[in-house]
Amino acid sequence: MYTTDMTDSSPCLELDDASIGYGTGSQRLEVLQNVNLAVAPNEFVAVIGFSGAGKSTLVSLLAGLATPDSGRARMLGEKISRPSPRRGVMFQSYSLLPWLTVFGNIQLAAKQVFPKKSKSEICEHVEHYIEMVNLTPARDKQPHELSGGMRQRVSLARTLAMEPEVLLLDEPLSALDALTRAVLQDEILDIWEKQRKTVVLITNDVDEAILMADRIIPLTMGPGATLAEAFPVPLPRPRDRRTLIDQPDYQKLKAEITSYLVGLNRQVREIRISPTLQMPDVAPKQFRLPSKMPGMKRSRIA
Amino acid sequence: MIQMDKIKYGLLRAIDLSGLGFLSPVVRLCTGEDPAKQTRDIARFIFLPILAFLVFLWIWSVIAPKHKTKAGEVPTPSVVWDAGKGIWSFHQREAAKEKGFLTSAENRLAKLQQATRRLAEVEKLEATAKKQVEEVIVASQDKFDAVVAPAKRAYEAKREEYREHRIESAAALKEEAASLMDASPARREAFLGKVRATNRISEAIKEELDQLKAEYEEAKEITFPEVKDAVKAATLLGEEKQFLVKYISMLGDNSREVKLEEAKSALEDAQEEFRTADSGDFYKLAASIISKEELRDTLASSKYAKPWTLPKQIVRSILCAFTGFFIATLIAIPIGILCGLSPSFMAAVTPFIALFKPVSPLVWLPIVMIIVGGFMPEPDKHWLIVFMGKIPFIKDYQIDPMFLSSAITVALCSLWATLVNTALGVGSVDKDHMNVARILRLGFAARLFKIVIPTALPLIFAGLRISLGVGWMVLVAAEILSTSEGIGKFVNDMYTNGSSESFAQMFVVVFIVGFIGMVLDRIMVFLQRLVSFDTAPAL
Repeated sequence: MYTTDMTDSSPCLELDDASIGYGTGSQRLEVLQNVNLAVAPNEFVAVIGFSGAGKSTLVSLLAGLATPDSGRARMLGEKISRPSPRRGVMFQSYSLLPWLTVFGNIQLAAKQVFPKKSKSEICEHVEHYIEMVNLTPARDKQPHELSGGMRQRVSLARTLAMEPEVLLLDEPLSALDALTRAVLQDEILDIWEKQRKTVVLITNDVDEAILMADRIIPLTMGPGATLAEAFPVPLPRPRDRRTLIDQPDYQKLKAEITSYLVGLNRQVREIRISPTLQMPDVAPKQFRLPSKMPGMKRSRIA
Repeated sequence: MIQMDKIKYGLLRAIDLSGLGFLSPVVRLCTGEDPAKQTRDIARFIFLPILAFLVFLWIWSVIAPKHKTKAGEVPTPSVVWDAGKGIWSFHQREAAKEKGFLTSAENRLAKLQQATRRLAEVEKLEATAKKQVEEVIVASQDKFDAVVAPAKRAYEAKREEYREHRIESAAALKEEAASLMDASPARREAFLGKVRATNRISEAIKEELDQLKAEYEEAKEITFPEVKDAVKAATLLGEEKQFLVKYISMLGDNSREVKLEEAKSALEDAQEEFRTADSGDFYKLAASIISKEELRDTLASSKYAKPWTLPKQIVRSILCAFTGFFIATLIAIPIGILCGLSPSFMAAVTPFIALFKPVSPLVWLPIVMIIVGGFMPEPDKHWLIVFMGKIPFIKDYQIDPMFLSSAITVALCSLWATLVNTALGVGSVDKDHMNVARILRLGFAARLFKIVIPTALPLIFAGLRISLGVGWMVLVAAEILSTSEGIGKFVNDMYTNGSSESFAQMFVVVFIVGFIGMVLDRIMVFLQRLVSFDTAPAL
């Protein structure tokens, strides 16, 4: 295995045969079924899957925003029963409060998580994280004045300012354009290298997963999705996107994961193929036009 | 240059916030930004509306005089303008009289002198004006005759014809009737037909006669513009003279100072008499001193009995509308928030909203008046009325049960828009924001005040804006019905009065009510934009 401590220590985040679904009766939809996951402390795991597979539901389970119908979700051996600032979540939709400034948004989180800090300490704390994501010039701007990339940076700073033990990144970069995404990927990696944390990254981008993660776990297609066999990423860190592409390991891994995902997609399509519907054999009884048809009389006269 | 831009964009932002968007091309043009486009925009957003208004005034002034009513012609714009000026001068004169009543010492005497001088002038001017009127009438006599004489002639000729026809036909028929003594039944029958025919003819002539008479009467009513103007000038002077006479009396014999002096000297005399008298009814003297003391005290704090003028009524109406609006807000926002937070509560409240929202203020008002009256059998002693009577500014506006009833009616009619909008705003909180709140473990109060209410605020203000608009409309109706002092009372008085002048004053009220409603709406738009965190423009 790639890291030694992964097998030695107990896992930081765990899903134990967890299943969850929504609705009741005929509306019932099983989203995740028998999901097993163990994330070691300070490990960077990427979960990759098609949209609609249930990736966000997986994050909800880990964050404690949803509880599994069966099975268990645990953090450091303790049952996850409700959300906590110990597991910071970064949402795809930024979810910044539009009436607060960058500073205000982060301050709201910091004040709540560190109620004992004095006003000036909180201010210092918030400014430290704004600095970390390079947003100091935009400190007093409101979200609608910022670009998508900047907004996601604020969201990152807010999550980091809670100083969580676990970071759950729910497709944080998929709404951004390719260039901004690359910049933010590097920034997130950079921050992670400096202060390692347990991270679960949800993504649909194979390159992103390989660049950032220690392990890539594909999520099979829903409904009733589950986690498949993991692909370890044996590339050395720190990784540089410019040299990474040339490494044979990278290309091999990418090919493997891509073909696995494509295979998943094909499988599902075969399952979902609908049988041809037999149409009823219908023929009109007679071909005469109805007598009260407007214009009929005139044509007869003519 | 940067300074310029700062001022420019500051101004543009202020214009945008206040919803006065039509001014922004003017600012842009002043800074030389794309003059062609700005000129087009100014033409479209400033000159075109002004032109449209002028066209409206023109159509109005053409159409209005064509319709005759019990209260005279429908007033034209200029008549309405004069009525507006009349309302304003009445207000100013009443204010002057009040001031005159209260001023004292040298100031009063100086003013008295001034007013007396002015009165002499006005009297002279009025005499001239009256003479002028007579002259104008004499001068226009020929014109008048030219219009009236043909109508008169036609009418008199027809009248003569009618008379002659009746006399002649009656004589002829009587003659024939005499010869019917031994005539055959057929001839008698023929005679009957003849009588019938004659009657029909005379009826036809009578109808024509009536028509001509009406035309003649109408012709007599004609007043020429020059006569009208002369009469108007004389009337205005007459009104001023009347005012000055009253004003002088308020400054002079009837002023508080003079009355107080009189009362004081009378009291002193009585006291002197009481002290020095050798004999007589001392009890009677003492009682007279006491009553004189009381009179002095009453006079010292007496006020001029100022009638309600329209400006004061307008202020009271605005006060009443805002009281109602305030009550509505206090009820609607908390209930709206509860509705938005709890679908069960919403389900419970929905039937009430659906049921009570369409109820007209005219139904609410009598009910509210009876209920409020039940709470205040003796309004002057009720703590609420006493309390409101002590608040500065408000105490001048006669807060009574009618005022409260009107305000509560306004509240009952206007709270629904705020309630529904608040519920909608609270219900539309972003799920991700709630997730953030859950992760941060924000408590109920923090969630409410830091996430839910800020999210709902723009919609709440949109609701408040609708509520204020509805409230202002409802208020005038409520005041008409409750005869509570205010714009509605003014309209009602003018309607009952029924003269052509009061008819024009009702038109003035239309514009005043519309203008105040517009200003209130703009204020709400401004507030709504201040709390809106997105840049979407509010219409």
